[in-house]
Amino acid sequence: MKKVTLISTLMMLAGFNSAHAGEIKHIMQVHGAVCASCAYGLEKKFKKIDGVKTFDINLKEGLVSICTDENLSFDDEQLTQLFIESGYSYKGKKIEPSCDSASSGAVANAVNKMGLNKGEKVTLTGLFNGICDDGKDFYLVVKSEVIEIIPPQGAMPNLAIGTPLTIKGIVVGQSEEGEVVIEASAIDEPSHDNE
Amino acid sequence: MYKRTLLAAVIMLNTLPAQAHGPIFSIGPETIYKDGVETHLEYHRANKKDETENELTLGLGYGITQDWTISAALPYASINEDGANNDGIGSLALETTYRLWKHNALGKQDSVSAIARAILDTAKGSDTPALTPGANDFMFGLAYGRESLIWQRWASVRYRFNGKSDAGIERGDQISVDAAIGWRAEIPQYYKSDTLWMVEFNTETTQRSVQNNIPLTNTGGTEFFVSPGVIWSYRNATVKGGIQLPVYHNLNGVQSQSDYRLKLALELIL
Repeated sequence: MKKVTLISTLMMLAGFNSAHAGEIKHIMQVHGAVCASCAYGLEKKFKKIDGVKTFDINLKEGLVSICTDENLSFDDEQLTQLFIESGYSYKGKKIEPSCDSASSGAVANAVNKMGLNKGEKVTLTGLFNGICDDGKDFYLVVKSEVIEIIPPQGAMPNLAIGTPLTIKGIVVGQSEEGEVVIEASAIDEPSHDNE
Repeated sequence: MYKRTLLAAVIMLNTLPAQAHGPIFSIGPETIYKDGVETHLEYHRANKKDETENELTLGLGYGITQDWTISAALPYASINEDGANNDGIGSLALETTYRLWKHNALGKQDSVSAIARAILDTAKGSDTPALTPGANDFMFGLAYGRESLIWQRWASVRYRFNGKSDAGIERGDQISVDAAIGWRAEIPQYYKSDTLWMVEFNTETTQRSVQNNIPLTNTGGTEFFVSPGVIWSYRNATVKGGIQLPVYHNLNGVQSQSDYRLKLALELIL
């Protein structure tokens, strides 16, 4: 009897897991979204698409996160149009194979816990998050914190959003938006194979 | 009669559709997303020495494209002037906002919009005090805004062409220059409520009205307001309120200056 119960339990767990295994997470970089009520148009447009289950946006990091059926895919042209019609700019995407809450760290609440001080020398590993509008700096996401990186002369990374990256540098201050700004002396790309 | 005419002009100036997350008493560059619908219910009170006007306005906006919004607002007005009361449907306002320029960056957006509004002489009845000056008015404005995660700033300029009233008065046009700053204590999160505090600075200069080619002494002038306000929102629902407090006035002749103006609005994006 105990054996039957155990098998049933395992089957139920297997069924539960397979339901979640049928979903994937699309994480997209958006520029221009600054408040929840402003971003509501994005939710409306995504939720109209069959197969989209959940919507979230991390306004600080500019990351839109949607869980969808695993067979649902978007091309850049579709997403560019959808973001334009919502009033924003689409900057790139990546896909995660799971919608587990554990994998949504990238869109978790962002609180500055870095505790970095001006003049401090640091070595940080994070995810490449796009080039700043002025084309001179780029963003790195480290433990849900967005950091602005000034690259060494002529060393602007040409990477996909979400590519892991390690930088060495010195904290030079804070941007207008409150992001820590680091002047990098070296940039290392430890891995290129997550895209 | 002249006082009534001017008060009506001031009240209608502030009926603003489709401003979900923009300034409360002036215009902002915001537009609704493509095919988006915005509706709002707004209470507005204006008080002078012997004059009080209350308006309850229902408005509806639609995003034709992400950069072009059209909207309409219809007020129910109640006026008390020197002890006499009147109430009824006020003037229908039709508005269009077209975003001329936009720049998106991570956590911030700059934009400039042109706004045009027609305030139509739809109020009926000949009771006094009148609910309308008896003319169609038109407003054109230009608004700039920078919104970011913590700080916001807006600036705008408006010109209102006031029509000739039923009484044959050529009502003076009005120029408004506004600036506003907004601040929130923490970075907004999508599934949490968001509170934005703001202060506006509103200047209104009205030209003298003219009747039979004679400028009317007790008309026109300048008022300057400081207007604290707050915007609370949760996803697609917004509640906003503010008060306009006069801090400077230079009115021609003998006129009552504004005591205060109050606005409270509930807005939903659908």
